[in-house]
Amino acid sequence: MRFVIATLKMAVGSLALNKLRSLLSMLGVIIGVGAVIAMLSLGSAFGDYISSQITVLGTNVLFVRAGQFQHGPLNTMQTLTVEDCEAIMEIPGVRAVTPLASTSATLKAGGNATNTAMIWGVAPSLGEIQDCQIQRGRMFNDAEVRRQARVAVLGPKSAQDLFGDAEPISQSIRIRGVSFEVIGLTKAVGDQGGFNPDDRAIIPYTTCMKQLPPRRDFLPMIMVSTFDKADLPTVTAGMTDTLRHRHHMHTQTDDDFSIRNMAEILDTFQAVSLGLTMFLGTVAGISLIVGGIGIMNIMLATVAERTREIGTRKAIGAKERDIMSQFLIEALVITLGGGVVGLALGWGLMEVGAGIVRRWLTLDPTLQWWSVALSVVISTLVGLCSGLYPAWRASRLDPIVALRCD
Amino acid sequence: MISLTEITKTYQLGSQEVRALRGVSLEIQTGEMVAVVGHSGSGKSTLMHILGCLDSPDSGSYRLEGQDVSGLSKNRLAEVRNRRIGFVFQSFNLLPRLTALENVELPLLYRPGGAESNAAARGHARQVLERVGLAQRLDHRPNQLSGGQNQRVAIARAMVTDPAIVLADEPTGNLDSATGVEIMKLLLDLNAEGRTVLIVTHEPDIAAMCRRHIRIHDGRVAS
Ligand SMILES: Nc1ncnc2c1ncn2[C@@H]1O[C@H](COP(=O)(O)OP(=O)(O)OP(=O)(O)O)[C@@H](O)[C@H]1O
Ligand SMILES: [Mg+2]
Repeated sequence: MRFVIATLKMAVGSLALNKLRSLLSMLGVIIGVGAVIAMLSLGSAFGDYISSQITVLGTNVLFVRAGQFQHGPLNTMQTLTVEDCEAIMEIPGVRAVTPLASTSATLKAGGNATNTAMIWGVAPSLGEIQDCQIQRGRMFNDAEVRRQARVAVLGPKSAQDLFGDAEPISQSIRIRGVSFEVIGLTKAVGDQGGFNPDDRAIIPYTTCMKQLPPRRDFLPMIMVSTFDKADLPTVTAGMTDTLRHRHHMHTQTDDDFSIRNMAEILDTFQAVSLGLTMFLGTVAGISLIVGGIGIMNIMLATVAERTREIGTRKAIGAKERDIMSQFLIEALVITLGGGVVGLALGWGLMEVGAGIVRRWLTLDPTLQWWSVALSVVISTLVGLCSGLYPAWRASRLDPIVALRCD
Repeated sequence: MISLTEITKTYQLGSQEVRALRGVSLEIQTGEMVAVVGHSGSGKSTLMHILGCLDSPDSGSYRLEGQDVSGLSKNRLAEVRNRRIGFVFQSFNLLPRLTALENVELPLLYRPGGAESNAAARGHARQVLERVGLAQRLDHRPNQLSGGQNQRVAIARAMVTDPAIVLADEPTGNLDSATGVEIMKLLLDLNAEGRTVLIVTHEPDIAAMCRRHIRIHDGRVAS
């Protein structure tokens, strides 16, 4: 132990003496470990995002949006109607359809409690499209939709903000000056990164369109679910035909709606994520191999430079395994030092990567304990692989030859 | 103490054979102070290396304190060097990045089991450095010390393990004669403590300070 500590001190000392050389020799490990850490953190954050989107939005979901993106803001489009919804329901393969009029507003309860939440105006069929289970109370029914009932189903976070621990069911809340009765509470599913179903008020779409200002007659969006993922292409084609036919459109004109396939979007994410992982994995692999070779090279040079030192150590009683561990420890100090810097670099890369994709989706990667452990393992492996041969060479040096070397 | 019989050592230099030792036999008793003299290239250093268990002879037998060391494993030889033998070199062979104290401590680090604690090893190394008159220089590195001081550090390093035998290969070769005499005094002190001391030297006045002389000529003991 004493030997290890003394050797560590000497190794750190000799690295500190040659700062530039040490840094250069560490570079491969730094980049390699950095890439591995960034790859794994971003990859797992992507994976989490995708699976959360899948659980919350459902995989077999299509969004129909009024107008094309280039046509202007969603709420000014006057192309989708409730009758379109009914027509879509007739298409084979469609499981459920709901209009979706969404907005965001401040909810108020008695007293001063407020909560800014998403308002989703939907039909009761939302439950067949998206995972939104009711934990207490109930979902509104078709009759309430028809008579534009002022009823709301709250997410647990909104309920907590407004009522604390008091019972929210049957309480009254106000949205844009209109008062609603709380009839249900959804189960907590957690923040999905930019979209928090727990911070949401679900109300009948009729009430949302006719009673909440600004009042309107047209639907901004329709959510459709199919029975099977395989039905998505045929249902998409069917919807395009049906809507174009219903909207009396010429063959040449563009659609006055756009259909987005959740699964396709998620597939794209998955492909991006895989591509990123493969790129970083390749960078990591190459850097680690090149870095390892560089360290082996430097260690061989060190052994040659210090032949006399090795001879002296042997003369005063160092065994082969003492010399071997000395040079292995030096190699490990280089790679573990590189690993620590690489970990910091990986963290930085991860934040930068997350910052870039945050323009499209909320990604919240965190540095996990296992990535720290992994960088230690990788650094140790590279250190052992690149240090073993030079250390063995050093340990086998004939002390006579080593002492004669001047 | 030391008993060599018909030791030979031949080096292979390319296709050429260099017969450095051609049958050396000698006996050295415990507590002797011996000067090994002879022309350059006669085989003095080779003999010292074999005596110091750094090298093994091609033939002949070497008994050290009654034990035949020719058959020992590399690890056992390292232990013998660490426990029984202290080396002093012409060019000091201190580790340049370590302080005097750390250099002296080094042999203790290679003690198996590390029986001595950190503080004990350090304290012991300090004591030995004080004995060679370097109490004020503990934290100096070799390049901050004079040649004579460096050789004192090297002697302290050889003493720290309390060896029975001290082997010095031209310990004064790199020093002026006054400093050389001081170093010789230290070696004589070690001998006075009962240690067996062998000194290779070219200088007659250094050799004159030793009771016994062994003259090596062409790989053989001449007298
Ligand atoms: N490793 C080696 N390879 C080849 N030849 C060697 C080796 N070591 C020593 N020799 C040869 O062995 C002979 C004896 O060398 P040694 O070093 O023992 O002489 P020495 O008496 O110590 O000389 P000096 O007084 O100059 O130090 C020399 O001819 C030398 O060239
Ligand atoms: Mg010599």
